[in-house]
Amino acid sequence: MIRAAITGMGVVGGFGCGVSLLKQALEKGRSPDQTVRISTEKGDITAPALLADTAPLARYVSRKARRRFDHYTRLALLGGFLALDDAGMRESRPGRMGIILATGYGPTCNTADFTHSLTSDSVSFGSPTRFSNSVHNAAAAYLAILLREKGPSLSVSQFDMSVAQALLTALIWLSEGRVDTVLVGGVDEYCNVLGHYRQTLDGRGSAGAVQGEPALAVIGEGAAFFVLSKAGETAGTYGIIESVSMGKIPGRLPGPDDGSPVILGADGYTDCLNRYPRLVSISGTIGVYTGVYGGLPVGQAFDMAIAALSLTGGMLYPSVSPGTVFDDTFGLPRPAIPLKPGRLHCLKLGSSDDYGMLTLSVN
Amino acid sequence: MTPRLPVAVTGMGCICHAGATLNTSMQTLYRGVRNPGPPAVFKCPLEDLSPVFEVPQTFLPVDIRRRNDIPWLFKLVLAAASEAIRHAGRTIRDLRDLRVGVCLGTNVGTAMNNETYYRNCPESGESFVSPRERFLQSNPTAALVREWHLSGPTLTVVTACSAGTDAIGLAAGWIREGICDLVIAGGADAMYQVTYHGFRSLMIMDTDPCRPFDRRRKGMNLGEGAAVMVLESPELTGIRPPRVQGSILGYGASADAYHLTSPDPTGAGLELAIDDALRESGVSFQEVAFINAHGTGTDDNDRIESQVLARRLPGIPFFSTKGYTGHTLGAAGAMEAVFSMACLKNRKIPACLGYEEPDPMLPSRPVRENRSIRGRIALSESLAFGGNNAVLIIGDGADQ
Amino acid sequence: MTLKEELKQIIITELNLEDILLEDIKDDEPLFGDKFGLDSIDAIELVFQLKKHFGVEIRDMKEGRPALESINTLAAFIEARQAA
Repeated sequence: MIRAAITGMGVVGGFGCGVSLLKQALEKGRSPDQTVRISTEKGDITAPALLADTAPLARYVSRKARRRFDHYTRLALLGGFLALDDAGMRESRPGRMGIILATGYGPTCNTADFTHSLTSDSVSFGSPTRFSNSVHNAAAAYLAILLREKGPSLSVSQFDMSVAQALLTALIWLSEGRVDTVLVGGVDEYCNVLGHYRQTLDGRGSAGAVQGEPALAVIGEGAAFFVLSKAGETAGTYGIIESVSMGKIPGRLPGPDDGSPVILGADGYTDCLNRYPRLVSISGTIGVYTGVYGGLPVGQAFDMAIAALSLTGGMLYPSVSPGTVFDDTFGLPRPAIPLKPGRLHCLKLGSSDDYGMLTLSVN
Repeated sequence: MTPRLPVAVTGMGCICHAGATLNTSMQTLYRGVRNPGPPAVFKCPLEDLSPVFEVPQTFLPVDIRRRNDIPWLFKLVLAAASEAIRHAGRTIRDLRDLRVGVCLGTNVGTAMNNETYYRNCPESGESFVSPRERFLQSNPTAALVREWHLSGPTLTVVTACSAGTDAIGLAAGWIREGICDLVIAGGADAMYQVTYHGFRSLMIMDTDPCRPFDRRRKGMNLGEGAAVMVLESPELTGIRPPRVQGSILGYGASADAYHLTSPDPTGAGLELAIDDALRESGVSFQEVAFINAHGTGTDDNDRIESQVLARRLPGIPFFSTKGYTGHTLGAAGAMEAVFSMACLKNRKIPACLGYEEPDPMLPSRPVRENRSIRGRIALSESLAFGGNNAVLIIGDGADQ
Repeated sequence: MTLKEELKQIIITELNLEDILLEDIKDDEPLFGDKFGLDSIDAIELVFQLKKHFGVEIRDMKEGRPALESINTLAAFIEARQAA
């Protein structure tokens, strides 16, 4: 398969807005403390959360143009604009650009609002604006509209496999010559409905072991976008995507046993704690960074950003894992360790015995 | 883009209001009949309801109908995919030894907030099913991979009304890139109160059975169903007697980059997608025997489509099958692709049901009666919410 | 609050016109034009809001368009429907 150069990166999350704040959080080993209030039948609960502020979108989009955007769309737009800005391609782009957006939850708040209005309000039957924003491809459509980009636009959504699916498609599009550049990214938003699930189940402010799913990560939301072009034609500011693979785990994953470090996706929903050691044989050092961006289905997009920063910085950041249990299981490194120039894998075990794996290398 | 190798389609399946299988659906299309009614799956106290094209329970094979462990949407997928695999002369067991991908378009299948859930607990978390469980139950791609123990890769396309077309086009890329031996590709959507009221709130639903391209058209009707194609690699079709039903020659996709809910009045985006699809397939527009248009019956869609067809594909007969199936959203593009391939095989296209009175504002008009065709290539197009356009060029398989 | 003021408030709140004040919307000026940047989604959103707040229904955009022209036409439309 073709290799793709990463020429731009845009991230927004609980760590802040932009690549430099992500770096800062990785160096500090934490993102700024935040909490979220979740209203429940038993009253409000305060829980730790890594939420993203989209105020910097004002840099790119006028108030008039953004008035209808919901939080989800704002996250996607901000991630996309930051990445294009970083690649020097916001104003103009050579050739044709494709847009691929991956999401696990979709625009949950809007969907929740619209659906709730249907069930609770027999007169109104829902607002058309809310309905429009709740359609899964709305955010990618807004991106295309604001960028005046008529290239192919795709939205994919299959929970925690969405990011690998989007990246696989990006590589194929470049290989086919369908596009010259791809803006690809993952976005998920937090909403009260998700808060309920995570926080009210055991009433202690941390999600209980519902159906055997321990909460390994604090609530997270955000967007991570990348600008990709064919490797060879462009130098990758952030290295190269060598391959994207995905599929069903065949018994034990043959997996990344080439000695390269592996960043594991631990979103807090799948039972990572038990599954990874059982299914994966890894010979290289392991890194986990969920603690910086929080638990969300498109966490792998953030792992990829962190992998790219590690490769180009020549240093594997100290793990910021979602919990000490995880540290002990894997013996995660606490101090940063120098990274020999080479490769790095990002592996996500999915909810359904499937996996998505990205392999990145320096130029 | 440069011309690429055609990808063999070895099996097809479809379940929709028009029929329980692709064959019975085609018979309904050629008979020119329909029988939409008020929504049955949800109660609605409103007057002036737009009729819907639901799939009767009895259309499902008994073994699938009796399952109580899977949601309705997945039952539809399972019916269409089982038919397609049978049609390809394969068994599900065969698939376990191959690299089998699943690529499906849907809308309802990725809605985390399904209705039952909302009914039970709009504001409280007490009877929550986890998002992960919810996802596992409702996503048709993940469900099919699990059901048949397939190896993947997987992709769930959520580009609204063009998702089924996109899914098949992207799946062809998987075969050409050598990622899979076989791909199960298509789309599925189920009748759902949220989508129904959503489109109602957008004021684009006809309270009569829809009338694509007709002067009196007032909007769309919703439908449901699933349609699936089995795509196979040349290595695979070469090592056994091929049962080729047709081929995917090219795929083009574009964004209007114009407006969230209104299509670009110039049709420039759609034209780009048509051009790309033709370029990838290496065929000229004169070789196209017919066009399966999107033709939803909304004022804007039909006008713009008619204009683009008159300009870019002049004189080529076209029709919409939404009058037989309703708008099945994420399934629509896949359904229209399998209909197109079946039409090539039957050498006959159906009348554009619902079209009676020509609209003087439209520069091109669909076929009013069944018509026999001679060519070997069809074009199927989808225009989606958000300005997504997707086009497939479909061959009769003579290239295989 | 008069009907016209109420309409203006609904437009500002529900169509997210953050920096527009009540007095910025003149009773007789076109609502759909460059000034407010409103478009077709706003038009149907307004139809939805009319139904929600005043119980009046517009079922067809072709018939509804004249009513949505300005604050004056909106107010007249609502009063006529409510009187009927």
